[in-house]
Amino acid sequence: MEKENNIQEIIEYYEVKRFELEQFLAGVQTFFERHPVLNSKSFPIIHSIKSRFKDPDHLKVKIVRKFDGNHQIINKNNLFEKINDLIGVRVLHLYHDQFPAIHAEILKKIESGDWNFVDSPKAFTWDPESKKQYDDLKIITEIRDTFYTSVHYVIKPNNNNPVCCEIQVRTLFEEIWGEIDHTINYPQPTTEIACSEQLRVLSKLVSTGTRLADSIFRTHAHYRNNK
Amino acid sequence: MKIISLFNNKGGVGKSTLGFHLGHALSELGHKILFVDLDPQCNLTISGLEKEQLHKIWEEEDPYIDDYESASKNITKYNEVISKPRSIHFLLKPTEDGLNELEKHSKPLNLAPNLDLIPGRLSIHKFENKIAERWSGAYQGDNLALRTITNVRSICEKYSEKYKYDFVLIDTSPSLGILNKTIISTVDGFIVPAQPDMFSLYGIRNIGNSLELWQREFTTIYSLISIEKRKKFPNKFVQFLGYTIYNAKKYQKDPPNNKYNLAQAHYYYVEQIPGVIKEFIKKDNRSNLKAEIMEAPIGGDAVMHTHNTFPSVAQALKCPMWKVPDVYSALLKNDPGYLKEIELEVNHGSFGKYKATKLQYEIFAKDLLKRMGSL
Repeated sequence: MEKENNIQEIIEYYEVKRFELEQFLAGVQTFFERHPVLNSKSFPIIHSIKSRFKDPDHLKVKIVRKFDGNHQIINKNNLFEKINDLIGVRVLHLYHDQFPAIHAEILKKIESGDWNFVDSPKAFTWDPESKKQYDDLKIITEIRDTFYTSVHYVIKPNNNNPVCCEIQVRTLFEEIWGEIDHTINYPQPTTEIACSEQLRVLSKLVSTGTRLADSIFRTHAHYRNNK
Repeated sequence: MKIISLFNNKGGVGKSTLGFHLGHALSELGHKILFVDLDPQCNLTISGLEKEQLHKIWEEEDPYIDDYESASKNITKYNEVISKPRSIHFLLKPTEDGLNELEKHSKPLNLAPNLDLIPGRLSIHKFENKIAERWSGAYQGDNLALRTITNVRSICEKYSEKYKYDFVLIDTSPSLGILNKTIISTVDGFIVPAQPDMFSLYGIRNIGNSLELWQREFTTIYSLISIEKRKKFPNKFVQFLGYTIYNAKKYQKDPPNNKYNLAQAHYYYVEQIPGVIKEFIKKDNRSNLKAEIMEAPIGGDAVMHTHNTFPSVAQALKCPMWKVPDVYSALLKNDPGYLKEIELEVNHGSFGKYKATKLQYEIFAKDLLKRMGSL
């Protein structure tokens, strides 16, 4: 019963914060949508943007999942600390060579004093070649068992408000993997070895796809420069 | 410096007349006052200067109100224009058009010792449209959006810094639209002049409800913008400083049948005002006023009863009521033709009554000063 009440309290708090979260989400989304450097007319760096607001019912499930026996890990006061992705924006682009420009604009926004990083940016990759790219940008890298690839940022307003927003930056190829993985593994991860095996192969395939896109654009640029 | 706004959701209650006399009374008590007329009807402005004078001010500004950037390309002309007093819309215009902030600020119009005015302008709706257009950007910390919302306040602050005002009095239109949302939410205090009728009860109810809504919106903006940008706004949300019954008919009965000497039908409404305030204006928006102070009209019944034709005579002579005898006598001596032209004749027998209004407005002003001490 107490457990139920606690969960109810968190959900109610989440609903109170809803308008604020929606406005913050809109602000983050607008930043990427309207940024002139990332949206040049002839050939925009950003291909498309997705955003999400975590459904209160899904949050409820997540909180229940995070119960440690009867010990409650999440409460009203640490909700945003414990769950960083209640609101999220996904920024999609075509190939990796576009990424440094997106990263630079996020850093500038932080430097301008509008946002703070809640955590250091983190890149998920298994590929040594892209790890080197992230190392050069001083971004921490991590390998996931699933071979998931993407760059994650968690930002908040530069004040004492704890609300935060997760920004995921990835290529369209990586998005394909993400969408398929999500369908198969959410909310319950599949136990079928064949499925997880194929998803791992797909991960390598989409990384290769992105790498091929980089290669095509590099050779294209080279050709144009030497014409 | 404190910025005080006069507001009532119902027009024609004598708000501008009260504001005009309040400003004069405060300035005569030794406080330096700036009027800012943000009511497009410009009644406050008209109380202090001739329509022809205002027309001249507007006319010179017309090209800038149409297109500020192209008009200001003529530097010689521009320098000449800003060397003279300008309307509030002219001062808001660079922000409205998304241009750089004005470097030079035109002088305010001097009405009396210690009392200046930034005149109003009928075109202010253009600025209001821009607020509406940019409002959502404020949640995102957009610089132009924040500048637009805080522009009235920042103009008041800039002028106060330069001319050392103690109080800025802002007259507003009777609307609860987005212009007044930004004005009232970014000033320090507001007062509600009211007439003893049901409109006043609903007026107070409406402003109370709107304030609650506005405060929620501003709190959300504050929670999403950086600490640095938050500084453009006042620390504390606007506080209700009180109401006054204005321009009410005095009930000639001895002994009076109620404490304010009002007709019973009028008193019936006045009696209900404190209850409506308590119910609809949130407690933390009623500053530190004690219940009995908040319940009583500002200055008691000092300015409550109608002055009949006095305000219109004062408006014709562009002075407060208590100065009518002096101004009228001087004109009679020096420019009787002018009095004939405006068809004005004041009975010497009423001079005493004109002069007596000064004390009444001083009582009103002093009570308000006391209340403003709690801001």
